[in-house]
Amino acid sequence: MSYKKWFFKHLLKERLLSTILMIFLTIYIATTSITPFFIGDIFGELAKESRSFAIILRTALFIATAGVIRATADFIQSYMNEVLAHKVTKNVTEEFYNDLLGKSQEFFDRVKVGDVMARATYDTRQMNIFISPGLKFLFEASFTFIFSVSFMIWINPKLTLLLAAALPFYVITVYNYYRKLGPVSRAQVEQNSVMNTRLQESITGIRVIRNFVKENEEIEEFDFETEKLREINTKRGIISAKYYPVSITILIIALSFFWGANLVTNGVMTLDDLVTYVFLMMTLTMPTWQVGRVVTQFQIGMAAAKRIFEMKEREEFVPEPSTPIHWSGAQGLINFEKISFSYNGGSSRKKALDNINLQIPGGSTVAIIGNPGSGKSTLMKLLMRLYDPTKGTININGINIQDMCLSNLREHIGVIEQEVFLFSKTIQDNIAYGKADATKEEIEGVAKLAHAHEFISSFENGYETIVGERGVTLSGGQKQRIAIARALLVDPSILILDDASSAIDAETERKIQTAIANVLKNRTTFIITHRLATIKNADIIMVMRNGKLLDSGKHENLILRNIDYRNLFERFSELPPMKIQEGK
Amino acid sequence: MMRSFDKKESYDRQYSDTDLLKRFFKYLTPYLLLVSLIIIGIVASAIVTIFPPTMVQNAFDVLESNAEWMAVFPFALGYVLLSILLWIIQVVLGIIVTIVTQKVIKQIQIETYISLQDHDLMFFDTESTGKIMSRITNDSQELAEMLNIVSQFVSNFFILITVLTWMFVVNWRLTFVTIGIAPFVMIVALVFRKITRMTTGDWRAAIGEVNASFQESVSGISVAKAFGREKKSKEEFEVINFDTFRYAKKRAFAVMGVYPLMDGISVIGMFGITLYGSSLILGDLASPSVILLFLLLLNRFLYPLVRVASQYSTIQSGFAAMERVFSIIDAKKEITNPPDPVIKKIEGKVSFENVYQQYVEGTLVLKDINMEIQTGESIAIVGHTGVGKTTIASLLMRFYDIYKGSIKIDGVDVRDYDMQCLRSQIGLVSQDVFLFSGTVLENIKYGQPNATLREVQKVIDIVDAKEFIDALPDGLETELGERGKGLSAGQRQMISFARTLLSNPKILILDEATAAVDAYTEWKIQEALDKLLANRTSIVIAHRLTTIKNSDRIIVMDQGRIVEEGNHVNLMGEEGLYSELYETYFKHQSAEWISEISEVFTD
Repeated sequence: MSYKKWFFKHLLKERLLSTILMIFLTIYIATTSITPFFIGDIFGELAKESRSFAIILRTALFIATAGVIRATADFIQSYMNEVLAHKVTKNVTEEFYNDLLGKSQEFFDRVKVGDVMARATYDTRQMNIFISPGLKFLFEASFTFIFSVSFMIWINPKLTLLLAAALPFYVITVYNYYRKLGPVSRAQVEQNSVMNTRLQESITGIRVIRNFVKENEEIEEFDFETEKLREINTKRGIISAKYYPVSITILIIALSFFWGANLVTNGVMTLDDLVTYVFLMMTLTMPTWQVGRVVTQFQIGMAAAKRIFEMKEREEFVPEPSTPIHWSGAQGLINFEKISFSYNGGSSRKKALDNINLQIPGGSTVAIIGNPGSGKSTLMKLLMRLYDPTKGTININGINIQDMCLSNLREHIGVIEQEVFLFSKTIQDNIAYGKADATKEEIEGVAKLAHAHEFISSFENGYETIVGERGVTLSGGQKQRIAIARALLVDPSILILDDASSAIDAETERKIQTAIANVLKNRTTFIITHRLATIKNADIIMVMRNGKLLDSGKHENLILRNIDYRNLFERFSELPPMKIQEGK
Repeated sequence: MMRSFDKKESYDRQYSDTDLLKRFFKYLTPYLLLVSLIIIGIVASAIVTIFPPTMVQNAFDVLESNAEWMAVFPFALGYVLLSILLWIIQVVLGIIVTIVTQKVIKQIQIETYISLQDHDLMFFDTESTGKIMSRITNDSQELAEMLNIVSQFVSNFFILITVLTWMFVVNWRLTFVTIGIAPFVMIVALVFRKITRMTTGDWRAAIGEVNASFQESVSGISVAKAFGREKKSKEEFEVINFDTFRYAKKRAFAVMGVYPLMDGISVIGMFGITLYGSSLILGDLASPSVILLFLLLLNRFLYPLVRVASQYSTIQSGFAAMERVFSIIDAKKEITNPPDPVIKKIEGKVSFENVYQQYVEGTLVLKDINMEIQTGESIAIVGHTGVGKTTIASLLMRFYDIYKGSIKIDGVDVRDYDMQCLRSQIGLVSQDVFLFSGTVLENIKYGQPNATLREVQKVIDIVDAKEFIDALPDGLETELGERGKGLSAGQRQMISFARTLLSNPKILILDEATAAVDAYTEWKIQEALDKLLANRTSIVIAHRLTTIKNSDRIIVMDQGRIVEEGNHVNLMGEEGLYSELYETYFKHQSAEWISEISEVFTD
C-alpha cells in the first residue's frame, strides 16, 4: 500500500459525513451561481422605460433568499468538512500511536523522540489542513466551475470560448506552480526539522558547548542552517507570488467584458446578459485563488502523510506466533541454547552475543557481571523478546519463548531498569502502572517491601505526589525503589534487575539491598549489578565478556578458578590479593 | 496597547510600544529601499483597485444608451489594462515582502541564538528548553510576520478609505447603505474572533495533552512493554485523542461560522443597494450604472473591513511576540569577557582565596574556601551530597561568577582570563553526560574536530571503551540517538571521558566522572589515568575508594566549608568527618561489609 492509498482510505471511511457534505456543497454552489441571474434581471428591468418597482422588489427578495440559503448551506458544508478533517486526523494519530507501541525496542533505540513527535503533531496537523480547508477549497472550486461555466455557456457560448481558450493557460500555470513548489515545500519541512533539532541540542547541551568552547562553531552552524531555511522560504514565497493564479481570472474577466461589450454594441447580446455573465465570471475569482492554496496544502499534506506512513510501515516488529502457547507463569527451567545475536537484524559486523549456553533452574538468583558492552543487557532484552536472537533459542519450561504470546511472556517478566523511567503521574499511579486495579493496601504493601513507603509518606501529598517534570524530583535511589515496588506489584515469575550502582550512602544502600532481597523470594531473578553483596549471594554468577559467557557458577567456585572474576572482586572490594590455588 | 502573556518568565520585561517599534524598524533599516517600495506598492494598488469597477460603470452607461463600439472601447480597454497593472503590482509586492520578511526572520533568529550562547548558565538552569525554543522558532516568525500583516493592514486600510471616498463621490445617498452594514460586519468579526479564541484555547490545551501523552509513551516505551501495558496505553490514548476531536468540533463551529455569516451580511448589503438604489433611480437621483458600481465595490469594501478588524488583534499578538523575543535577547548577562582579557597557556596552579558563593540570595553554598593546588597535583574532594563540591568545579570554569573572594589560575583571577582561553584549557567530565546526536566518533572528537584516528583510539583505550564501542553495530561510526540514547549511563560516561581527554586539558576536573561505570572498569581507567595525569593538575570529586586513594591530597568539605585536609591514612587517624564519611560512603565497598549485608539475604 502506498501512503496516498493509505491516506485516502482514511478519508473515504467517513461516508455519512462526506455525503451530507456533498449535498450541502451542491446547494451552496447552486445558489451562488444563480444570484448573478437575479442581478442581471434587475438591470434588465432598470433598463426598461417602464420600470416596475414591484418586480425589482421581488427580484431583490430572490437575491436575499438565495443569500440566506447559500450562507446556511455554506456553513453546514464547511463545518462538516472541518469535522471530517479532525476525524481523519484523530484516526490517523490513533493508528500511528498504536503502531508505535507495537514496534520493537530496536526501533526506539534508533529513532529520535523529537522526530516521532514532529510526525505525531506537526505532520498530522498538516494532513488536517489539507482536508480542511484544502479539500473544501478544491470541492468548492470544481463545483463552482461546473455550475458557473454551464450557465455561461447557456447565456452565450461564443463568449465562453474565451474562457475555454484561457483554461489551458490556467492549467499550465497551476501545474507549473505545483511542480516548482513541490521540492521547495519538502525542503522547507526538512530544513525546519533540522533547525529545530539543532536548536534543541544546543540548548540542552549548553554546558558541553561552554566546556569545549564551541560557541562560535555552534553559531556558525546555526547561521548556516537558518540561512538555508531563509533561502528556501524566500524561494517559496517568490514562487507563490509569481504564480498567483487569480491574475489569470481577473484578466479573463476583463477580456470577457471587453468582448462582451463589443457583442452588446453589435446587438448579439443583451446588456443584462452581459451583467449576469460578468457576475458569473466573478464567482470564479475566489475558487481560482483557492486552488493555488490547495496545491500547496496538497503537497505539504501529502509529504506529511508520507512521513507518518513511512515511520508506521518501518518493519521493525517482533513477530507474534500464529498459534501462541500460553504460559501460566509457573516457575521452571530457563534454557539459553546456543544464543547468538547481532544488532541491525544480524547485519552488524560484530556479534553482541556469541553462543551463550546456560540452564537456569526456576527460582534461582542469577548475577550477571561484565564490562559495558559485554552483552549483559542484550541477553536480558532477548529474554523479554525486545529482540529475537539471530541464532539459538530461549526456552522457559520447555516452551520456546518465540512460540509464546508476546504480552503473556512480558506479563510474567518484571524489569527494573538502570535508568528508571517514571511517568509524570502520581507515585500511586506509577506503582500501579502494571496493575491498574490494585488496591491502596496492595500498593502500600509493595512500597513497604521496596523500602519506599517511608520516603513517600514524608511527602506532603504522600502517594498522591506527582513526580517528574511537573512535580517532585526524586533521587536516583528513590526512583529505583519505586521501580522495585512497581515490579513487585505485578508479581512477575521472572525479574530482571539492571542495577548499576551510583554513589549512594550506606543507609540507602542497605535499604536497597533489603528491598532487593525481598524481591528475590519465590522468583527467578537476573541481576546485572556491581554490588558485591548481591553477587556474592547469587546462586549463579554469569561472567561475560565480548558477548561470550566466560564462566558461570557460585562465588566460592569462581573466585578460585576464574581470573577475571577474581580480579574484579579483588579490586572492587579492597581485599588483600588472594592466592590462587593451583588447577582450575 | 494592552498585552497579555500566557505566562511570564523571570527574564520577561515590559517594553513600551514605541520602544518595540523603534527596535523593529532597526531590523528594517538595511532594507529601506525595499520597504519604501512596499509602501508605494500598497498605496498604488489601493488606488488602482477602484478603477476597474469604474470602467465597467462607464461602459455600462455608454452601452445603455446604445452607443457605438468606439465609444465603449476606451473603457473596455481601460478595464483590461488596469487589471494587468494591478496584477503586476501585486506580484512585485508579494515578492518584495517575502524577501524582506525572510531576511528579518533570519536576522532575529540568529541574534537570539547568539545571545543564547552568551547567556549565563543560571539562565538555562531555570528556564525550560521548550519555552526558549519556542521564542526562537515561533515568536521570531510571528514577529517577522508582523511586516506582512502590517503591510496588509495598511493596504486594507487604504483600500477601505479610497473605496469609501469614491462611493461618496459617485453617490453619497447610496453610500449610507454600505456604511450601514459596516457595524454588523465589525460586530460579527469581533464576536467570532472572541469565540474562536476561547474554543481554540481549549482545543490547543487538548492537543497539548495528546502531545504529552505521545511523548511520554515514546520515552517510556520500554516500561510500557515490560509491563505489557500496550493495551491500556492505547485505551488511555484513545480517550485523550477523542477529547481533542470534541474540542476541535466545538471550535469548528466558530471558525466555520464566520465567513458564511459575513456572506449573509454582504447579501443583505446587496439587497439594500439594489432596493434603495432602484428607488433612487425611480426618483431620478441615480443611474442604473451606479448600482452596478456599488455592487462591484461592495466586496472591495467589506473584506478589507473584516481584515482590518481581525488584523488589529494579530498585530497585538505580534507586539507580544516582539516583547518575548527581545526579552530573551536582553536577558541580563553577568558573565562576560573582561575588557582586557588575559590569553595565555595555563601551567596549572590553582588557588582559591576566601571564596564565597551563593546561587540564591542569602543561601551560601561555599563559605570561605581557601586552597592551593600545585601544578601537576591531584586532589580529591569528598563530602556529603550537596556540600558544594560541584560548585567548585563550575566556578573554576567560570560557569558562574563567585560571590566573594577570588579564584586564581597561575596567579591570574579567572575573571581576568579570556573565557574561551580559560575553558579550553580546563577539561570537565561531569556526572550528567550530554552527548550530541551523531556518531560516536563525532562525539569523541567534539572538542578536537581535527584529531586523528590514532589519537581517538588512544583515549578510547585509556577509558577502556574499546570493547563496548567495537560491540556497537557500526563501531565508532554508530549513530547515537538524541542525548546518546541506546547507550547505558556507564557507556555514555566513558565516551564523555574520552571526549574530554582528547582535548588534552591542562587542568582536569572529574566530577563523579565514573559513577555509572562498573568498579572494575573504573579501576582500569584509574590506572591509565595515573600515567596520563602525571604532569596535569586534577581535581577528583568521587564516591569510590579506588579513585580517592590515589590522590595526593584529600579535601573534606562540610556545609560549604573545608573541614579537613590530608591523605587517607592521616585523615582516618583524625577520626573526624572523613572517617565518618568513610563509614557511610566507602565502607560498603569493603569486604567486611559484604559479609555483614549477606545476612539480609540468608534470612
